[in-house]
Amino acid sequence: MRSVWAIALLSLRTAVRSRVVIGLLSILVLGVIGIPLTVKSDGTLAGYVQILVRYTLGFAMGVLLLATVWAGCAAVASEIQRKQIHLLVTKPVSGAQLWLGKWLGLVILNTLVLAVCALVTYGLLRWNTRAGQLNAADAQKLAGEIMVARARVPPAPFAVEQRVKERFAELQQRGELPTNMPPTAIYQALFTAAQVETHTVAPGGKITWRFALPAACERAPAFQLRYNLAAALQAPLNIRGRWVVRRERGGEACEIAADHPAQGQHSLTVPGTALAGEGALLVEYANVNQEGLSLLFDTQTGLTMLVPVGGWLSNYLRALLISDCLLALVAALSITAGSLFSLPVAAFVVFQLLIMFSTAGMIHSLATREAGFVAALPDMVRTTGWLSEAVSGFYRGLEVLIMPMQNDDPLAMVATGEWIAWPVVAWTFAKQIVVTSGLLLLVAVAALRRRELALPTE
Amino acid sequence: MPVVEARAVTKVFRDFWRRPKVRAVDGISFEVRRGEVFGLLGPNGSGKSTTLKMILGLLHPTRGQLAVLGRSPREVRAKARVGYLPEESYLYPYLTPDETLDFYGRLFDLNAQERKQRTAQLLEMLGLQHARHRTVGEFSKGMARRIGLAQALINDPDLVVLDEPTSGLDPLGCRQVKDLILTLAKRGKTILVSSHQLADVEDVCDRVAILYSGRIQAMGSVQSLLEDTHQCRVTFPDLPAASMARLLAAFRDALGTEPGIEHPRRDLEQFFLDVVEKARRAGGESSGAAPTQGVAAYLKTPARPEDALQQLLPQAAAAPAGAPPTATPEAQAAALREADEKLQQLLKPGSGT
Repeated sequence: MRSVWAIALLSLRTAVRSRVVIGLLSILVLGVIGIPLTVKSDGTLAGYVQILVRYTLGFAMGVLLLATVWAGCAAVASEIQRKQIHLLVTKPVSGAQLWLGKWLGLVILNTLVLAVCALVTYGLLRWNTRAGQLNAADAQKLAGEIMVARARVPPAPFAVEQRVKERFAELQQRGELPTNMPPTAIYQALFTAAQVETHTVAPGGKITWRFALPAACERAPAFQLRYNLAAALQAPLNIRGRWVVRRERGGEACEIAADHPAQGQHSLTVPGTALAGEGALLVEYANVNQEGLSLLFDTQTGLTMLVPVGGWLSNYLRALLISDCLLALVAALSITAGSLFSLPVAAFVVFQLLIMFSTAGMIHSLATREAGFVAALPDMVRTTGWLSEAVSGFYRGLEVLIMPMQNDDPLAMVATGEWIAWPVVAWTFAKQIVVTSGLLLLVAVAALRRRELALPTE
Repeated sequence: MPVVEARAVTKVFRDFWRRPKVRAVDGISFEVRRGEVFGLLGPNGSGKSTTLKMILGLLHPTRGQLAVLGRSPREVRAKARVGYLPEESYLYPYLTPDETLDFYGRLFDLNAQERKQRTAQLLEMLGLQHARHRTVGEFSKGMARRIGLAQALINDPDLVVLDEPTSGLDPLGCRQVKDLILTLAKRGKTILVSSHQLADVEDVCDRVAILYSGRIQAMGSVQSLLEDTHQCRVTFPDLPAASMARLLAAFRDALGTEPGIEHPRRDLEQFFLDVVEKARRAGGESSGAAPTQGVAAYLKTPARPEDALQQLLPQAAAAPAGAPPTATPEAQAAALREADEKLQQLLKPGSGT
């Protein structure tokens, strides 16, 4: 362990003395101080917190990622290039110790820099919202709505699959399936149509969602409903509705009238004390507009329930831990790339992988949707040829590869007051540090063992 | 068991497509025995550095077997007992000598106190204590070479591998390094030197192997390889002309030809060292390395019980090779008996050594 620490310390010194890393860190300092001063928010408190937390720390993360890629690739590759590794590997140091030492050095550096940025950001936030800076209403809003950690509970999805399958079979039986479209595309179109149908509230009609609350949210003092109306079939200035929230097993109901413009995101607060009993919540929306107006809730983000479950500061800490895990994973990836390739090649490979990983969300969505549609098709049309199978297999493989990078943006979550649970931190740690970085360590050890470090071409 | 054992070792460098490009070492076999100074000699490109790098595990033999201290050179445990000075000083330029030696000491799992003591002793031994707070990047090549040598000795190794150890050093530094090699050898360490400085090798090596084109062309003790048994040299003080004439006449009668006569010359290295020593005594200063200060104390201390014998015989250890013994035969015999008794004590199970 002593040698691992020695290499970690040396790795830290090397990074601190690297001109590239110093340049990037200087940009980081300028950004953390400059962004809150130069970027204008939308004038709201929530907007200010978003700018400060999401953009400032997001910028810091971006710079740290660049610095980590460079320092990580150089950690082994430039030592091989400068032959300094000859003195290292002729000492009783295994490949795993060498890798761990380099990785630990970078992780410590990243953690320190991120901690400083986070402290500065939090200090600025507290200083600019200190007593006397805000009026009473804003101060209350900051404490009760902005600097909070709320769990986001989605409603149970509407069961549309059976309806889509039946519709598909009906069209097939009648021979009305379009011949110029692949079956998955037809299924997807039917699925979208069914979703729109279930999310539309006709004039005088109702729509009901069911929310199964996690145990931690059962006794919350208040619930916030956040909803988006995708479009109104006609667009008057304001639309009116009536929300009714009650327990599934019965009890008192809480009724709230809504009157607001159709577009944008809306929220309303339901006091927890108004809802007696336990168990799932039923939320009903009644369209009471007089103008014969149909309303469409967004099929993806139509309605979400936010329940306060913890303090903002601990949520901030968890967001930083998840961000640090990502930096540690990038450090592992870069060091392994540096163990396999020369410095420029390693940096190029890592950047390519990062670009691919940055599209992880989209690929995941494509993979799951495609796989879902294929699985949902009736047996008789499921065989879609080797090309479709190959594409589907490619997406599934890609999904496995990018799995470690599939995180919601923790800084965006904390900036909007969305709760990050400890199990999420533990899961991120397990998949990004234990499993993925562990696998990268094995790859690097195998490469270092196989590689001759004193070849004339090195 | 030999410290280094090479059996038909071949190294072929290949190109990107794995096609053989250069046969750098071609089926060489040799042994380096415990406690000897073994030299690998050869012109540039003869395969000596490749051989050293295979011994250190930096390159892998294409064919043949190689063992260092009875293990594969790539085994981590074997490396714990090896010290290596590369041809160039591949040190971290932003570290000071203290930090450099502390770093390499940590890699050998030495504790903080031990690292501190050894660092101080090595810097004193190599005359670098005045530069301990400067970064290595500011050092001259010779000074950096000394730090390289210090890091090779930080673990008190059993096998010291020195690749061109006198490269970049001035004659004074060369002499110091050669003296150090001889001292380490006396201490029972095995030293493997690669060099094309023939005089250096001749001064310090017990045995040498001469490589050319990747093959061993000659191998044996320096004495046996260099001795010309067909000629004799007689050295005596300058004589009066009459005595000299009589002596020459006797040689002429015995040889039947005219013998060659010349005054012996001091070698340039010794002359240079004398001049520098005089200048130093006269108060001259240098910004480079200071004069060396003996040998680091921890290197004098025997690491193994069997090394104790040499340490327990101060007269024998202090005397230069070939010098007449200063003690009487009776005193030497008594000292040997005493040493033998102490050695037996040390080798007893549970003696704590």
